[in-house]
Amino acid sequence: MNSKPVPAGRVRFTSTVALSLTFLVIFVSAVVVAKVNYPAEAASMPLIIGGFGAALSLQGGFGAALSLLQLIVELHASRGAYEEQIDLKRDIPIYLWVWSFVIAVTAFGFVLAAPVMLFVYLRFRSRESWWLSALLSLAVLGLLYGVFQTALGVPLFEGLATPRIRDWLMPAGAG
Amino acid sequence: MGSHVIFSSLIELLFTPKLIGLMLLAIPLGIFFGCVPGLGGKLGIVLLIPFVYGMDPLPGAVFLLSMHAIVHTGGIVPSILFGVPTNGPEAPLLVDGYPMVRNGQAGRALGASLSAAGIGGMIGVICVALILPVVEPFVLSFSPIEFFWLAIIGITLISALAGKMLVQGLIVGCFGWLIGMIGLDPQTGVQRFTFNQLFLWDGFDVISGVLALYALPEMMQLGRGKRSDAAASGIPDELAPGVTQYTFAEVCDGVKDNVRHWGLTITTAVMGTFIGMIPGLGGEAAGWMCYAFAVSRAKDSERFGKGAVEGVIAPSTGMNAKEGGGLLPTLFFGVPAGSGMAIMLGALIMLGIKPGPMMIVHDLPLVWSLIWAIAISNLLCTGFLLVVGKHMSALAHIRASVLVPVVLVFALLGTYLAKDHWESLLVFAGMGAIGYVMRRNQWPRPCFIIGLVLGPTAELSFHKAFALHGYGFLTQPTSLVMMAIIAITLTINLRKTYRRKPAGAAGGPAHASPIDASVLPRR
Repeated sequence: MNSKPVPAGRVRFTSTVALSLTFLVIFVSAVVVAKVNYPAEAASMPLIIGGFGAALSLQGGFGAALSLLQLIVELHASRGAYEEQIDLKRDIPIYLWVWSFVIAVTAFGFVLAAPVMLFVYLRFRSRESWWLSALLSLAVLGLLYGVFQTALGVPLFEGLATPRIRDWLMPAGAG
Repeated sequence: MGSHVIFSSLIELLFTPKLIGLMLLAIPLGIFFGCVPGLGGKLGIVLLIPFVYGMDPLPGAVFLLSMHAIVHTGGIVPSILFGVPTNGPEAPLLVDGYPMVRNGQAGRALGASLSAAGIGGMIGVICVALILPVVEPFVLSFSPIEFFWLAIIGITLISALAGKMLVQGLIVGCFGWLIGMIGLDPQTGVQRFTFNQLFLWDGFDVISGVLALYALPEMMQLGRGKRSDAAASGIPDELAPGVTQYTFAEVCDGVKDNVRHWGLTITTAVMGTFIGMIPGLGGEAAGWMCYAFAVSRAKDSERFGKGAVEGVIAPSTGMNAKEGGGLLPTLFFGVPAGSGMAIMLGALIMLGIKPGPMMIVHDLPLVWSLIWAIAISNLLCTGFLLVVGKHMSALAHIRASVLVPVVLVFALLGTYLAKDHWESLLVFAGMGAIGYVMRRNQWPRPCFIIGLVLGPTAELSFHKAFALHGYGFLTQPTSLVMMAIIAITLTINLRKTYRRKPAGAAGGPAHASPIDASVLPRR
């Protein structure tokens, strides 16, 4: 993370501004959804917390007003302030790794995807040795399949694609 | 309440092989989560959720609570030996613990701190046991009005958790409350914010929220660096060779320090217990307040910061004693004492335990089992670490590059098992991005958990109180007293917050620690 001076008078779209804006959108959306879809009793608390609180008679609502206030504060503070820059070159790869884990597990399930992704991460992202990567992956496979699925009887997600691939490889009645 | 309940719970715990086995398993796990920088008790609970999935409530709760109760004891070892606090509550130990190590008193510092932690944990449990009969009639007299206001008081404590970032804390708290509204509306049965997605019908559980906002951002932060960065665990290289070596006799000398300063040990343990009972204060407050107490009662306070053994004893007893204290509001009011207990609350609910006043009537043996579990795990952990503590310090050297993917796998597993829906995995990754940006900008994430846990309780109690008394419940004496407490709490917190001096011209961290930088290891 670098600390760079932002030129005086220039408004920057910093990560805190983005965060405040995200919350503003979430709160306003919640207010709109609650107002349009829910009966008065069910909508009362979302309206108070997320948006137009009838009891508070605020046009913006508590959460939305706070987000708006925060957004204004952040935009104001970003003028000429020292800002901690989010280094996208380092942040995006790790977030992509997270998504690759999630997508792999969603597609192929825990028992298949988790050890494979673990091995790939350890070997190619962390640059660990082959043997350590393989050892840890096997340990996780043993834990997931041996301990959770077999010994504890925990039903682990087998993925969206795995059953289809299995059906394709072994059609019903083939075995 | 009969004494047979108290002792039958203890006998059941000690003589049921499954229960004692789970406790023995929880102790090394607790030490592991305490010793490894970046993990900690909160993450420990959520990562162990898959292991208790489908367990009976008692073994599951005993396992999780035993692990959580000793995390700070485990964290003592790297905090004192290397000056690396693996979690926030251990930070006060550095002030005098690390100078003691540099003065060649590593064994004495560890002995004093570990035994103080064990004694603190025990005294915390004894205090809770003594308070329980007094609290019982009080808890049973509570109506929805009191529960509504109690939840609001808990939410008000966001102002204490958020510190200087009050507006951000309130936004995050509101966000947590809003997320807590997902699912069936308790009053009308209408599905709220489910967007016709079946996996959202049961609501959003605390475990998934914590994993997304805590576990994932921490792992992303650890994993974003290069291998060389990630390998750096913060262990200083300035210590002279052999300075962290010690003999068992030195450890025993440290243990005796607790006897020499018995007044301080007992007082800070009682203080820690009561601090633990106050929702929102948490372990960091307990450690620092007990340290401040030790400094204030010392005749020669200039010794502090240079290796005073009292400066090691006081925070150790305080941070462990608060675990017992935190159990009271969590179990009997459903109001978690801190973010760790909020996660524990979610885990207990997942196990089928229903925290609330009825626990005193229906589940008292379970309550006592949990109290005993804290006591026994503290004793066992302290004894274990006193003997093999220096070997455990090796855990602090585990590379983040190895830790990150393994924790990620278990975080995904915990997220999935919490609701049994694969869609939760996508929500985990999506919300994790928000959590990461919050972490990088130091937005107070515990406020999310407070909102998520207490928001629905407040809403449900509000509707019940309204159905019973109409808006008249707002003018009842109880409500007026509770409103006064809220107003006083808010005023005190706001005054404290805005009287604080800014941390630095360039904008330092929101929660500046009072550690003297000169005593800390160079990184």
